[in-house]
Amino acid sequence: MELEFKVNDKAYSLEVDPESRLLDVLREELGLTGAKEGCGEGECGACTVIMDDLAVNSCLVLASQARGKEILTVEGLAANGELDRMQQAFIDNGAIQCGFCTPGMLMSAKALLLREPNPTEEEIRTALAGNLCRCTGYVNIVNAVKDAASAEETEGSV
Amino acid sequence: MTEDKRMYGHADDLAQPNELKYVGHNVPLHDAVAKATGKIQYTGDMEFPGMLYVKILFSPLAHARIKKIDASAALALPGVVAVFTHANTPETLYNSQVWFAGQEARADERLFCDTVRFVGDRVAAVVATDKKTAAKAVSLIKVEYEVLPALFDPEEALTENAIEIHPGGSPFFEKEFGCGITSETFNKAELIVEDRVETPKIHHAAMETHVCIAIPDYSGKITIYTPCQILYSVRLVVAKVLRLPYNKVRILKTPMGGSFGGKQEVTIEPLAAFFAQATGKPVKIEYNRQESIISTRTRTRTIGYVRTAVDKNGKILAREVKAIVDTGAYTSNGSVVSMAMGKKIFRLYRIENQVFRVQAVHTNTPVAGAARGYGSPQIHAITEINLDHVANRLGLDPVEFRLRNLVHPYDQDLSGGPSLGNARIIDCVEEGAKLFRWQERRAQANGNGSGRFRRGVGMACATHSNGYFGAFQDFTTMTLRMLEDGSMILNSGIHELGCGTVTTMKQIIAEVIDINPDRIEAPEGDTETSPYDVGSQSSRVTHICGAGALKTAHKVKEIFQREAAKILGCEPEDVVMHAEIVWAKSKPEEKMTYGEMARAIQRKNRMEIIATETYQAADNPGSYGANFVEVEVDTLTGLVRVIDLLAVHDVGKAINPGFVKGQIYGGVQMGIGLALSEDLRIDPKNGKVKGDSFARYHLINAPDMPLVNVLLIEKGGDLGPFGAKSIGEIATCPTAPAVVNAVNQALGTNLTTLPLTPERILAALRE
Amino acid sequence: MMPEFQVSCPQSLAELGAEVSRLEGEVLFLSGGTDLILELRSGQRRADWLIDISQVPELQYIKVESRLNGLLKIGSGVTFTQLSSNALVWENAQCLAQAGKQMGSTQIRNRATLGGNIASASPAGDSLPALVALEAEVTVEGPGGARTLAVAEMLADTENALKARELVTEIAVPFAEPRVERRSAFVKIGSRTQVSIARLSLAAVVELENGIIRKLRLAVGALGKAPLRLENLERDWNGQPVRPEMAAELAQRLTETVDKAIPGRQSQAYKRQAVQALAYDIFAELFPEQGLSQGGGGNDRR
Repeated sequence: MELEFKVNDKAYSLEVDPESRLLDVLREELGLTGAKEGCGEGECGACTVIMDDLAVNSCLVLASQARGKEILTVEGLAANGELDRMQQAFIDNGAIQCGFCTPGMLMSAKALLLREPNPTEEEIRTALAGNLCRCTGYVNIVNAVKDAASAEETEGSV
Repeated sequence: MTEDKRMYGHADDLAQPNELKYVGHNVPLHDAVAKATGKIQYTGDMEFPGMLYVKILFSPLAHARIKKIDASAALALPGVVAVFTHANTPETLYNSQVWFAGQEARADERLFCDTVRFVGDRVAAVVATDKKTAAKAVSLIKVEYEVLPALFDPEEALTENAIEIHPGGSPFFEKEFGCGITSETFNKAELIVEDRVETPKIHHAAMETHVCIAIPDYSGKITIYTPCQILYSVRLVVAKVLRLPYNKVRILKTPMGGSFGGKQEVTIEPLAAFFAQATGKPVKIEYNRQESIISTRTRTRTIGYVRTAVDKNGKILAREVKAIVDTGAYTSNGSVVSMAMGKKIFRLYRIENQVFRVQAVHTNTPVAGAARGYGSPQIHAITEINLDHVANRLGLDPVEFRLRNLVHPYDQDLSGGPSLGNARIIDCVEEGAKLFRWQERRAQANGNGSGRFRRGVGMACATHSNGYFGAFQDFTTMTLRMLEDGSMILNSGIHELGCGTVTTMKQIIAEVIDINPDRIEAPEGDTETSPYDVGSQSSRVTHICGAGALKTAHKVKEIFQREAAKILGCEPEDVVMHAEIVWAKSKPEEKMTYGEMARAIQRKNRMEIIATETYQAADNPGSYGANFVEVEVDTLTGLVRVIDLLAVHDVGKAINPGFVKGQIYGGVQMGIGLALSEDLRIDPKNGKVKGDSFARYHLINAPDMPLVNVLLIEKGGDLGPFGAKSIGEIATCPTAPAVVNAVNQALGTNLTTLPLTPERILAALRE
Repeated sequence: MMPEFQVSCPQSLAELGAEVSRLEGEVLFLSGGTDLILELRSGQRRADWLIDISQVPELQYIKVESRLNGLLKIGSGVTFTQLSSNALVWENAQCLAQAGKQMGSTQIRNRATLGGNIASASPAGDSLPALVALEAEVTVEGPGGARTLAVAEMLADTENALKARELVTEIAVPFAEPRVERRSAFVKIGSRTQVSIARLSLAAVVELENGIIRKLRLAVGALGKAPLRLENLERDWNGQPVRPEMAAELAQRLTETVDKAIPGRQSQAYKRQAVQALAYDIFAELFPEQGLSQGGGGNDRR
């Protein structure tokens, strides 16, 4: 079936298998392998992308449900070659170890700041509750999100 | 030896931190940008032309003989290239954990066996042109089984009439070792405290599931892309199963999406390699989460019986520790992990009379293997929970009790192991207690014991190794060269697991050569081009490989100075190397870049700046750690909230403090999981894993992760680079017992079966 | 392996109706998909056609209607994120907003819908005790026309359950009578603080007039197929002033409810005790002026 949608600001019109999930289309059709499949059941968040400004598990969205939507993946965060503040904050705060959860974490964190530019620590932890990480104990990830949020506030823009 | 010590930075001549330019600094992970942008290619992200995909049929039964496999419907499906079973795959038996040629280990695994021994054992595999076809075809395979009796309980495995899962039955490994005379000492003791402590099978839970790709070529060579921990172990097993010479098996370490020991053993690589050989095509095997949980490796389930004898002053007179180690359906590392476990108990406290007895058994459950700590988290849970019980019975503060018994720097291992080195556990405990305000918080928590929410404060200590010295051969070989533009390449068999190994090596080299770490490339291992390395295991990498990098860098510096001296017309010791600029001490006005000098050396001296050095491990000091933790228990729901935790670690020297802390934070997360929630939960009726998904197997997530503070004790003193000792495994060892001890203080209980689920907590409160 | 199906994506209610009549074979409605996609992939369910209702804007509304004493009307396509961040829901059906907030992860709440939660009718479904306690009604539309019934009726009785091609379109929560103060709350116990299936949950709706309980509805989740009402207690407390001792009494009644609902079940020993926590938690939520902490007379969290 036909799927028209936007990914990282680029419009696509694709022929997709009705059974394909958004994750499958991103990874296999568009070659955007940043989103990962860590569990395939919406528990680990490694496949998180932003759909119309909201974080979603792309393993639990059928590709056809993305019709007309705007998808942002980790590859779109630094689309113009310059790292997004969230990416820079993850690097600067040592929030990345093996890196497999990182794309999903970044997208959940980014979605949080889209709706709440100045989140509390509790809000950060809630926003990341559906993203599992085995390396970092979330310590530096939470620090990175705080850091990115305060940088956004300082610069007064999102 | 004296000279060596100076070279490797002994405590006495440790440079002050501000004198070190790169070591001791938080240089970012070398591939952080690639990871943050999603550009890094993990194995699952890689595609090769003509690649085939595999779906494996796993046994639904815990123990059965396969009578018949009918794959005709699967084979008839368009897109199916082959179906493999025990009937058309090698009968070669192998052991998944051997890491060096000639290593003795019980070989009881096959690619596919005609008997399945646990729910999740491999029955057959479909190789197809796409994943969907492979999955569909697997569902069409019909298998007839003859069900065999099964056993799931490790203690049942030791009973007289227990079934034999492998010939000879259980225990398949038994050992006793120790020091002093325990039995007589027990008779003299003031107090003897006994406990039975049990730790569960857990899933490593790397976010990347198990995956690898095997590619055959026209010459019969098989190249394997795998996120592994030990390249040479993969080569060993694959070469054995495929009957290939070692130089026809090439293993390439790909980016690691987490391992924690879970990808240390060789599980899927020989399958992919054989399928690639048989079909002549690239083959990818990628497990889903359930498959990774049930069919790869787990931490051993371990049951410990501890008896500790003390005098009235709280001096430990003697201790007996008996461990039953459940490695599941195959032997895997059963004997090695059993021994590794036992050795730890002689390296933390001064106990003159102590014996360790271990029995390793098979059960019809998922296979255990390497898991962060390699037995340490299990044995420390067993002994440290018991020690709090002893302290309580003595009416002695647990910190004070431990301080009376902990080892001192440069103590000997009374069981005959290597010296403990500059063992700074007493510093960890003393400084940690101070920083945590232990006495105050412990007293306060304890006084608050009647309402619904009860607070408890607990602590525990642990020790872990620094490589294999004293047990197995341990060395590494590295080649370092400077290129004509002054940049450098380190060629070695290192494995980046996300801990920062590559960057750590760069920092060490950078410190010696005085070069920006970004100007050094340190590719990961490739068995065809890298020198030999023992692998990313046994907490050896920073201590041993780091020392190798240091030694090699010193050699390169020596060559560079020797050759530069000829160009500059001075003595080698007068060649100054500073921030990638070189000059003769006497002629500071004539400066050259490293690149200019490297080119001049090539042109005039006909020399390359290159050195290959082998570093042989010559020590194996203990790494030490103590965790202090406060918890709050909801006595109505049995849920435990970990409020905050202080982790104090004797790391010798932190080459990259940020990485060290990163290891600790993650280790704490894993340790809390072991204490409170993680358990495969094998169904005693049928051997099925109940916790076979992240919905049913709960890792600690962000809201439940406490504040973690870290204090590093950096006193050097051993042979690691700049005095560095290991952190990756020890990081998780003290956590679980510290949490359990805190819960036991909160509730006045003696809970000893991990994890402390709400059910277990409420049951204990009812008693 | 995912069995084969086709997907239809109507963009309006009219298109949706046409698709329901047009499509042949086994038809299932796909909303947030957070359960259904997994069930399809694991082979637990199969379909020839999925009709995706997540793209029908007419199913996504939250509004107040002045009919009767007033009604809160929620389109079945409203997500848990919308539910738990909507002022009308917090004002008029706090327990539903609280249930929405405690369901799953952010990513799940962004997709999962109230209609889907009702249609799945999982024993642990977080919205269900809240809807039962609120005496909410659902409108169901299907080939045989529309019907409206109480959520409790739909869940309790297989005869009332959703039939083939029937879709929950709207959820309506009636308001209390004028001048009656209504309070509600939802609490749950999972196996961790967030992102956990409820092992037990409890929703309460209480209507007060001058401090006297005029009406009380209590529904326990995760004890049976459908939420269990505590009808005896609801009756007993009717007309009584709120007293601090009620928390302990509720705890006792909840334990009895567990014993009756799951006698001999392995989880009984745990649940009969843990359910008491819900009593104290909900009491503290509903009646903060009683000064009872969650500790139930003991010490509170520091």
